[in-house]
Amino acid sequence: MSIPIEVVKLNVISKKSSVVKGDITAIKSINGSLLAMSQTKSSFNIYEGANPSSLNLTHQFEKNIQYPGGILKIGEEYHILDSNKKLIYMLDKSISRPEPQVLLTSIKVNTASAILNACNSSITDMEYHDDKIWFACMAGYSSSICSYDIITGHLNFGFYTIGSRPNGILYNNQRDQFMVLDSKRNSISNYSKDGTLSMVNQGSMQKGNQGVDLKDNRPIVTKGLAIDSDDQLWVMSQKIVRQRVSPVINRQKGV
Amino acid sequence: MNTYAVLISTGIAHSFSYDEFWNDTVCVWNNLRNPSSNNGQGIDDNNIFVLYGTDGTDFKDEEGRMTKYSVKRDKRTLDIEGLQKRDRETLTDYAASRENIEKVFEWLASKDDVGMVFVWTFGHGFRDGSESYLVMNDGSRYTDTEFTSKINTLKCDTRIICMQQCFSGGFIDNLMRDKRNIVLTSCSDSGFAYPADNDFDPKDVELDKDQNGVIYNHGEFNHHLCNALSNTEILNLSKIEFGNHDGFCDAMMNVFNYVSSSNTVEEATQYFDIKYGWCAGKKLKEDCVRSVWSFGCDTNNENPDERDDLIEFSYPMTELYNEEQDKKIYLSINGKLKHIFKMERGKDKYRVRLNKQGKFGLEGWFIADYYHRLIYFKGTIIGKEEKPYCIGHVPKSAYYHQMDPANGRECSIIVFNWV
Repeated sequence: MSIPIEVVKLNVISKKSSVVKGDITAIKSINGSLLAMSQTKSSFNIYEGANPSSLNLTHQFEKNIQYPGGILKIGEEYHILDSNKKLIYMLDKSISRPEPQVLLTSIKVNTASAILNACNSSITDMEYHDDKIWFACMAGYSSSICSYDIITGHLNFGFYTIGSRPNGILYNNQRDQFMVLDSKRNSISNYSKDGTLSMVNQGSMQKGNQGVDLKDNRPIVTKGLAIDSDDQLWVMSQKIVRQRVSPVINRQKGV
Repeated sequence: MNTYAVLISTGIAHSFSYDEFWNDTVCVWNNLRNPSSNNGQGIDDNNIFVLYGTDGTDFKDEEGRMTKYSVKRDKRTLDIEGLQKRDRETLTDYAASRENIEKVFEWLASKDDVGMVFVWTFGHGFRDGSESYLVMNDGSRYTDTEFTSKINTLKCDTRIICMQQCFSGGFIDNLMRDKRNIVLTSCSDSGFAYPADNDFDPKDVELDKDQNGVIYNHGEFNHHLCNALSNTEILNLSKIEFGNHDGFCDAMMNVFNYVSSSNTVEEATQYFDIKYGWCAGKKLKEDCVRSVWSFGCDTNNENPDERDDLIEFSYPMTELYNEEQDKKIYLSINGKLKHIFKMERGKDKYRVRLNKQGKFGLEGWFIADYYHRLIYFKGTIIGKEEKPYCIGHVPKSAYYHQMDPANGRECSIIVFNWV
């Protein structure tokens, strides 16, 4: 089976931005515009805008999440993820504080819970579609997309990702597909809801006016995935955190 | 007598990702068939069966750039009962389907010249309840029970089984019931297998790169296993006589020590043989202590109305070790967060009242005792007769005191503790 590979431009939002207080920790698309969350020493801040240069502060609230990993807006409610605790919070605007809502690790009705409860898995990003919160689990060769049904409370295994570092998830309404960013190769894999892979986009990074093809010798890794009203794809940049080491030392004469 | 090998890679390699599903198959095959004079294990290539992919063909990338692990074998005729007779020069003998795997094992079980069998598996692995399984390329499950039942039909005195897939340690409790099995797995029954990466130490970087600049990936466990297979000072199967099971145990223990000590990612390599028992590599750091309780002992019921409630207490380790005052324990029931026990409160309790159509019920209090660092349940369990049970962290001082069996089961039980 041949999977088409196309190059796509990835626009990078730097961790620090002139219009945002503190460090950006999450980005997401909502109705053609962007949603971003940042953290300072004492607070979390939520911004909305058509693109990263026109973000406006909409909420500021108490910083009580240890590993902020993703943000969603469902209706008028904001949901924030703790990546390591696998705990989804909802922002209680009346007290300006995120309140714990769903602890994903404790739903033990199917195979998705094996991933969430294994050592060292983390949820890197989440997306809302079809009454479900879909989330990217980074878990070695079991890295995958799972979903939490907000109506029934069921947890479901979706599909394995092509790549062990899914770091961003986006539902593309036009294509009716999920796009999953893998930060190892800065590629985006396009999946239908049943997990069928239809296309892979190799990311060509754009920072300012200069395109940088990172491939494997990357100075940064990418995280999050969002699309703006001009169909531009956006990712966040983070300092390099992982590095590949020496694979098989070859004594394989004849290969 | 002869040594045979069966290599099974159920994952699908792509040029853009997971090419190690192919690369590692080639590396293991090559190290097994190389003669010991060339630092290999000297298994006759005619006795090595390679099952890979979906259609029985070798991996090739679209652009034809990934050539380092393209190989040709000496031409040979395969004639295994139940499988199509074919002349092959490719590495792949058959697609890695359940039917083909079982036919190969059945054929080996019918032979009388099998002195030892080496089995290697790679692909996606999964766990569901108490079963681990290898995910087949059609998405179906090849469970630890099914795999073991086939392995145990082989008549030889020694079978060496090496597994790289996630949750592969879950195969050990099945395979260990036959003392002829020696098992080495990349990870435990609750852990993942990882690509050959290093999260913590960027030094010593040596990419597997060819002259065209193409980078090839490998699994972490496979990387170290291949180093062992290609070094006769670590492992030399051709020196061990058939029937000398202790000798094979010694040799594979050596491989386990090498692989587990070389592993630089968060994998807990596992090992079992009849001589050395069940051994585990490094203990992993866990991010959370969890105790999950079922008070009615029917957690697998398909009908959610009849399935027991799962009650979880969790305590992030990061909070265990830091100096913050606002340490918390999370209580959730069926995934919904119900209460946070906060330590600065001194005393804290949560009223629990669960009822499943009169068949099962739980009514009482979860009470946090911060002085003794524990949470206990006090109240009544209605319905099932069985003793409640805990998955995960079982409180060390757990006790169960049944006070009034005639009117439900009034009891007191410690459900969580911390250091």
